[in-house]
Amino acid sequence: MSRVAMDKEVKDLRRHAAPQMNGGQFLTFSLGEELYGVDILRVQEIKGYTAVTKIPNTPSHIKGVLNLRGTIVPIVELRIKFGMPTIDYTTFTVIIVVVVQDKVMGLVVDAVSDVLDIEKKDIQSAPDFGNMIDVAFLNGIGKSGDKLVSLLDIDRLLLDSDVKDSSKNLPAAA
Amino acid sequence: MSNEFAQFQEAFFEEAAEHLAVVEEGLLELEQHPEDLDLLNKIFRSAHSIKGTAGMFSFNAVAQFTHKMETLLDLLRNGQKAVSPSIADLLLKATDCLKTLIQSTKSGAAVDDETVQRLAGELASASASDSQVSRVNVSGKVAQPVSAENCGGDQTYVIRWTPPEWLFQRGLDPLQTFKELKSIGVLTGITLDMSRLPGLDYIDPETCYLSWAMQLTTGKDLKVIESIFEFVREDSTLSIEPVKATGKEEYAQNKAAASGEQETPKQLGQILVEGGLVSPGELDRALGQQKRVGEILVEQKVVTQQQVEQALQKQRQQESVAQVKKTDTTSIRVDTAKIDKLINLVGELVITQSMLSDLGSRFEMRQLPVLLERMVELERNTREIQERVMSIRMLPVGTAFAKFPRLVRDLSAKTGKKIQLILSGEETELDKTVIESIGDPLTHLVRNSADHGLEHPDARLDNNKQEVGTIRLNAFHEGGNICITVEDDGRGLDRDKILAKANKQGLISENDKPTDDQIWPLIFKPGFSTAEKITDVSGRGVGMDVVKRNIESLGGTISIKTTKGKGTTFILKLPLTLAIIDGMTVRVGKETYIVPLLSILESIQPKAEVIKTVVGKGELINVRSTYIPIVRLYEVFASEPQYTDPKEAILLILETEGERVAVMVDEILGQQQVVIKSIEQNFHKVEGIAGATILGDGRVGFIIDVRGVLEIARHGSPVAA
Repeated sequence: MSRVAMDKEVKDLRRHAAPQMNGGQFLTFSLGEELYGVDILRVQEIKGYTAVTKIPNTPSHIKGVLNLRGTIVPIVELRIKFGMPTIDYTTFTVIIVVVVQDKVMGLVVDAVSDVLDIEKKDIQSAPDFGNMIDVAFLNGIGKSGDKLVSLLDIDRLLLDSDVKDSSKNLPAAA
Repeated sequence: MSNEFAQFQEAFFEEAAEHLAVVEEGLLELEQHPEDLDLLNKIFRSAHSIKGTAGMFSFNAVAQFTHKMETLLDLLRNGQKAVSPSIADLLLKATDCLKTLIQSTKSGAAVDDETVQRLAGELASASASDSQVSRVNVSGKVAQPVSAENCGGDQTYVIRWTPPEWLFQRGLDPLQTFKELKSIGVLTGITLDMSRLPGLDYIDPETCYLSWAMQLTTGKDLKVIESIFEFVREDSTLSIEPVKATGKEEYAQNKAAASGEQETPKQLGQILVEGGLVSPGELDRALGQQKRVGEILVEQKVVTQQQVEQALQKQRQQESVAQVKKTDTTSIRVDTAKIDKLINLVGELVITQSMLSDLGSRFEMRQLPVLLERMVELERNTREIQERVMSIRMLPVGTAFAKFPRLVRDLSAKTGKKIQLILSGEETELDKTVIESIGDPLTHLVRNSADHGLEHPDARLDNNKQEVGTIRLNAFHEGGNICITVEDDGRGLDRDKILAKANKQGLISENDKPTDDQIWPLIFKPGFSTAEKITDVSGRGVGMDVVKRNIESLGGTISIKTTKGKGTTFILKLPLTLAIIDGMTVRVGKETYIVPLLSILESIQPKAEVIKTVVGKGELINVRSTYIPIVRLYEVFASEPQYTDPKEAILLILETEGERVAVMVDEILGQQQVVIKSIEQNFHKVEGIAGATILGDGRVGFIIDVRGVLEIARHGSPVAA
């Protein structure tokens, strides 16, 4: 298969894999005691945490931007995004670089853990907590052994609020 | 089929544009030197190339039109006709028409058929009408397409031929058959049926898998046609059916069939005609009765004529929008030598890199000098590669100048002034993006010079000037910038007139005694025009303010030098490239920002007494008796500063769109060239920040957008931090 065709296939996979949770391979990482997973096809690379440049006048969960081999990549601190308490960075703190609709973004997480195969039958839809907790960015809950993995819909998580110009939110913020 | 052709077509359009430029340029020069045969040959060759390639892609309209131009050019070339101003003018018009034809072929838009037909007719009559000699020549040249029109009573046959499979084995060539057919009439609408062609694995090169369908218009008998197939008749499937039609109509029909077949399936009428079931005349009548949806709706009183017109208008708009999207890709032609050099350099880079990694894997302290040496090499390599890559984007500024000879010629005709245009420094190289963006401002300046700057010939003679006015376009390097000057020897700017207008608009009060340098920039103010009347050429809509804004958005500046009665010079100063800017790195707290050097007027460490406040808050600094508002950068960007007292900090006096502002930072780190990186690529636009760059330590630094910073300072930060 030609390189181009392969790239196209990967892109197609990327596009189709996320919406319906058909099971597959997930890169899992931890935030505190909790385990989260992202579709492995969406992950571009994992790199150690390095200092970022803060972007002025942006929400606090946007950590800043990073120079990734000449590309400017925005970094999202998932703990702040999820409203969890922040902790000091350790040697395990990493940035997971993901691709969200042709945009490259980084997620700061406590530690990466595993690549897990989760079958479709082991995925149940995201629980409804009502108004208490917003779970719109969850694609479902995966089970692997006795572990529970929250499967993230990174398109919804990152794109809607962060990448697109959030100018329409301005009046509310001001 | 058409998809595979697409990339070649793209190349055709590019090439055609180049050839057209050559033709146009040549024609303009030809006006000055009508007897220059080399020039004529050059024009002819380019026109011929367009015709040839257009024919190859079945862009028949383009090919036919070019053919008519070529015929006329050929007569000029052979000396059978002399180059007269009217002919040159006609050819220039034809070039324009050809340009639109090609453009519409590319975008699939509708063509103004009337103009095309009219010009084609004019070309034909210009070619024919003159001398007897030329007439003979013309009819000889264009015999092929015309002959069909002459043979009014000819019969058209639809021929379907499937040759026997053993055709090649017996050494017979179907091409020979076609040649013979062509010799007795006009062969059109040849289609090849390859459906029986097996896969490459099974193909037998000696077996004929092909079959053809074609139309032949000839005065010869059916027997004669059949005799041509005599040798290949055996085992062939051959049908020759006459089509009931007169030759002329049929010819037109064939043409349509020939041009349509490439990309679209045949239309019903066409199939019926080809099958001989309906004559083209009958078909035309039937089509004539057909009405457009809009007309039917109007007749039934469902909608009004006006509504239909509006809807059609909308449709056209959408079509044009679609066209714009279609032609969005840009490409660049690069000298192969530049690429070769680049490849060599990359090779060297790889070698240096492997030497370094080799050294690194078993490094000992005593090898330090070697390491340092390698590092120097690496640095040299990288810098050279950077320069080379940049140079790929560089084009000679002449490409932006190329359209001006024509423009000035037309302006000269329109305004009745005698103008000569002198270009110099065309070889000066400039970034492609910059070149594309300066086209419009330059055009405006040249138009301005021709319309307002230069006087009418008699006025010039009265003032002891040469009758012919001069506009001079010059480009040259100056420091790290490119300067482009537009100079005319006209009447110059009128100080009193500008002053009067400025007073009227309240820009300057009556008592002010402004200097010249303060007055001239007034013409860049929006809505400021001293022209008494709006002419067709300039004075409408796009003003000098737009020119200034365009130049400034490119990171450039524009200035004016003028002497009354002697002329005006506009000086544009542009950065070499948009990808790199000169910046001042400044520090605020722990953050490093880059301020574009072009916007910095000066930097000062203020004394306490020069800082004043208004209503206790708004701070102003007195710089040589002008009060300039102070903006604290740390407040705008909500960061932690080292100093909050202006006396300890540094104030950068910046200018944006004529406004001055003093921006407070902790420290100036230095001046350097920075490569601009897009934040928007992976994020959205951030207010107050023009872009990002990678600093020396590998971290990201932001380039400040002075205008944006000023806006935030005035209206508060966009996101409550």
